[in-house]
Amino acid sequence: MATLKAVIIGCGKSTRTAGSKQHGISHCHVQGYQAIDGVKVVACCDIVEDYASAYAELYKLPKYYLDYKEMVKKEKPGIVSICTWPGLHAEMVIHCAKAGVRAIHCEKPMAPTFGEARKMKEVCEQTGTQLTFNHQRRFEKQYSTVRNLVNRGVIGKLRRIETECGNLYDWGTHWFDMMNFYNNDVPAEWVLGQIEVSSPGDAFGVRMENQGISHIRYANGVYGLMLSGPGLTTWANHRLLGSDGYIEADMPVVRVRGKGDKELRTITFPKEKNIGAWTAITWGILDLVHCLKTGREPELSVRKAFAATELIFATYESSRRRGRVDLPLSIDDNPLHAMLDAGEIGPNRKR
Amino acid sequence: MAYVVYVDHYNHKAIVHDEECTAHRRRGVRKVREDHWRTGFETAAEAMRFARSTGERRVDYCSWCLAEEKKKPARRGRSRTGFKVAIIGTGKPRSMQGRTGFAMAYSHADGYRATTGCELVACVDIAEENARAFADRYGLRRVYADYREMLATEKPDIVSICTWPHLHHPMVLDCARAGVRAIHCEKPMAPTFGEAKEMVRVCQETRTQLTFNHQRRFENRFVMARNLVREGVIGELRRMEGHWGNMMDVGTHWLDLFNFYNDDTPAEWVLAQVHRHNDASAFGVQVENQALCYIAYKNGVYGLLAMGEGHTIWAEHRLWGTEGVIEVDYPVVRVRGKGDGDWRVLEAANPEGPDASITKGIQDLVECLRTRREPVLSARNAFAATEIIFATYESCRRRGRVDLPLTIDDNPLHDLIKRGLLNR
Repeated sequence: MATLKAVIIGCGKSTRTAGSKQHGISHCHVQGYQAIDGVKVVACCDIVEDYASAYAELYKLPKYYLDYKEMVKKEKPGIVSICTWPGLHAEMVIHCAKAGVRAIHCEKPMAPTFGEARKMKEVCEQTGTQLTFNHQRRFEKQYSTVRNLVNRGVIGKLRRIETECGNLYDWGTHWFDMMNFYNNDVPAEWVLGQIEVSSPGDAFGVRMENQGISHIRYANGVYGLMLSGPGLTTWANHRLLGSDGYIEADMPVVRVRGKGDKELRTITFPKEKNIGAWTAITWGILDLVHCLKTGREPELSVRKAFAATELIFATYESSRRRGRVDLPLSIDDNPLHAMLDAGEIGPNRKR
Repeated sequence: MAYVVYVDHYNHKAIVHDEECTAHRRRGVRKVREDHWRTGFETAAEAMRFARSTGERRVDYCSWCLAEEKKKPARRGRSRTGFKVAIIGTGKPRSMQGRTGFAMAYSHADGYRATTGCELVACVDIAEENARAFADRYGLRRVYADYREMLATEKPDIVSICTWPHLHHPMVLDCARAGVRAIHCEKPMAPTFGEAKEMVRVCQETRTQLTFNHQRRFENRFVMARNLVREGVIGELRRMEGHWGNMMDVGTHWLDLFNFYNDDTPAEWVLAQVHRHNDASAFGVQVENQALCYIAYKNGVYGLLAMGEGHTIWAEHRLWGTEGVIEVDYPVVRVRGKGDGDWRVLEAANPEGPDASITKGIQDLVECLRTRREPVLSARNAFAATEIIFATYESCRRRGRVDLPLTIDDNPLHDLIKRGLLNR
C-alpha cells in the first residue's frame, strides 16, 4: 500500500531553545500522523529556522524548510497540516489546494474574516481537496457520551444546548461546533446576539470581544445559547436541557438527570492531555486519513467547521446590524473588527 | 329611630329608608315586596354600610325620607378613614366590540369596591359614552372629560390612571401636584426612561404614594414559585428565565417577577439584543418583535429573557437552582427538586379568578396609605423593572453591556427606529 506523505506547516516555538513551556499544537498533529500506519511525516516548515530544525530533530523528520511553498512543491505531500495563526490560514489552504495536495488539516479558528473562511471552502470544493479543521473535541469521550445519551432520549426531547467559555472566537469556535455536534449537525436558522468590547482581547493575532451572548435557533426547533466571558455562565462547560431532564458536561465529569433520576448522576472521565497517542487530535487525524481513502465526509470536515464559524460571525453581525441574523450569512468581513476600527465600539469608541 | 334598606336585585339598587317615614306610610310603599327589606339598623350610617355591602350599582339614601342625609356631601364623617377614588381613562367596557385594551379601569373599580373604606366618586374619559357607561355600571354620579377639572372639583384621595402609557407621565405629575394622596397607575410606566424617572422623583417630592399595576406579584402561581424558591426546594437560585411577548408591555411584568423571585436584589448589568422587522406597537408605544436580555444581579443570580416571535422556553418562567428546576406555566407550576424523580405538577390557578390579583394590589396600596408601609406594587419596585427594559434597548443601541444605574433619558429603541439604524 502506498504511503501517504504528510508535512507540517508552522512548527512553533522550540521547547529546547526558545524556552517554550508548552508544546504547541503542531506537536499534536505530528504525533497523530506518526501513530498511523501508512502515513509518513516527511518534512516540516517554519519561518524561524531554529524552530523548524528543532522540531525536525525531535520527531526525526528527514527535512525541514523555511518556505512552505517550496516544501509543498518539492515534497508533493498527500496531506498538509497547517498549524499557523488564523491570519495565515486562507492563504496557505488555498495555495496547497491549488498545488494539488489531497488533504489539508488546518487549525482552528478558520480565519479572521468570514469571507476568507468561505473562500477556503469554495476553493477546496473546486479542487476536490479534502479540507478539515481541528475541532477535535468531537472526539473527546465525554462529549460523545453526552450526545449518545441525548440521542437515546435519556433527557427526553432535546430543547436547548447551552455552552460557556472565555470568548466567542478562539474557544467559541469549539463550543459552537459542539452545539452543532450535539444537535446532529442540523443547520441553524438564525442568530440573535450581543457582544461587549471594552478592552479587546487577542488570540493568536485576532482581536476578540470580552463578553458575548448568542441565541441560535436550529431548523429542528432546538435552540443554542452561547455564553462567553465573565459573568455569563451555565455552571458547566455545556448544559443540555431536554423535556425530561438535563445533562451537564463539566470535564472531567458528566452529570445526568433523566426521567426517574432523583438527583444528578455523575459519570467521571479520566483527564487526558492533548498530546500523546490516542487523544482526540489523533482520533481526528485517524478519521481524516481514513476518509481520504474511502471518500466519506470526515467528522471534522470544512462543511461542519464552516457551520460553526458562521455562528461566530453571525453573532458579531447581530451586534453590528442591531437585529436578528437569518442564515446563511452573506457578509465577508469581521463585524467586530469593522466596528472597532470605525470607533463604533471598544476603547476608541467615539462618544 | 329605625332604618331599613330596600334591596332590589332586579333594578340593581339598595336604598336606605327611615322606617318611620310618613311619606312612605302614606303611599303604602313599605308593603311592597316584604322580602326585599332588611330591618333593624339603628343609624342611617349603619344602614348605608349594609346597603354598600350588597354590591349593588345604585346605593343611596331615599330622597323622600332622608332628604337631609342625601344632601350631605359624600361621607364627610368617614373621610378621615375613608378614601374618595377617581378613575382616569375608563375606556370601553369589556364586552364591547372595538375596545382596544383589557378594560383595566373596570378591574381597578372592582378592586376599590372590594376594599373597605373606598368610595368611587368620579371617572374621566375623553369619550363621553365610555365615561357614562362606566358611571352607570358603578353608580357614579359625576363624569368628566377633562381630568384636571375632575381633580379640582372632586379632590380625590386616590386616583387610578388607566390610560395609554404616553399619558402616564403628565397625569401622574398633575395628580401629585394636585394633592392626590395615592396614584395607582397602569403599566408600563412610560415610553421613555426620563419620564419614568421624573414620575418617581415628583411623587417623592410631593409625598404621594405611587404604585404601578404589576399585579402578578399577587397571582397564585408566581407566589407559589417564589415560596418554593424560598423553601430551598431547588437549592440556591441560579438563573431565572422568561418568555412571552414584547419587553415594554409584557416584559415589565416578567422583570418585576424576576425581582419578586430574587428578593428585589438590584441588577448590576444587562447585555441584550432586539429585532424589529415591522411596525409593532403596544398601546401606542413602538416595540420590538423579538428580544434577548441577559441580566446579572448583585447577588450572583442571573436572568434571561427570550421574548417575542421565534423564541420559546417551553414555559412562562423557568427557575434553575443548584438542586433542581421550577417551571411556571399556566395554570400549573412544575417543580423538580432534590429527590423528585419526575416533575411534580402543582395546580396553581387563582382560586378567586383572574382579577383577584388586581384587587389584592389595590387592597394593599390602600392599606399602605393608612400604615405608611411601602406597597408591594410601589413605584420603586416598578422602576427597577422598567430600568431593565430601557437598558435592553440601550444595549442594542450601544452594541455593548449596559452597567446600571442607567443614565439615559430617552427610549433607545425609538431613537434607533427614527434614525433608521435598527436591523440595518
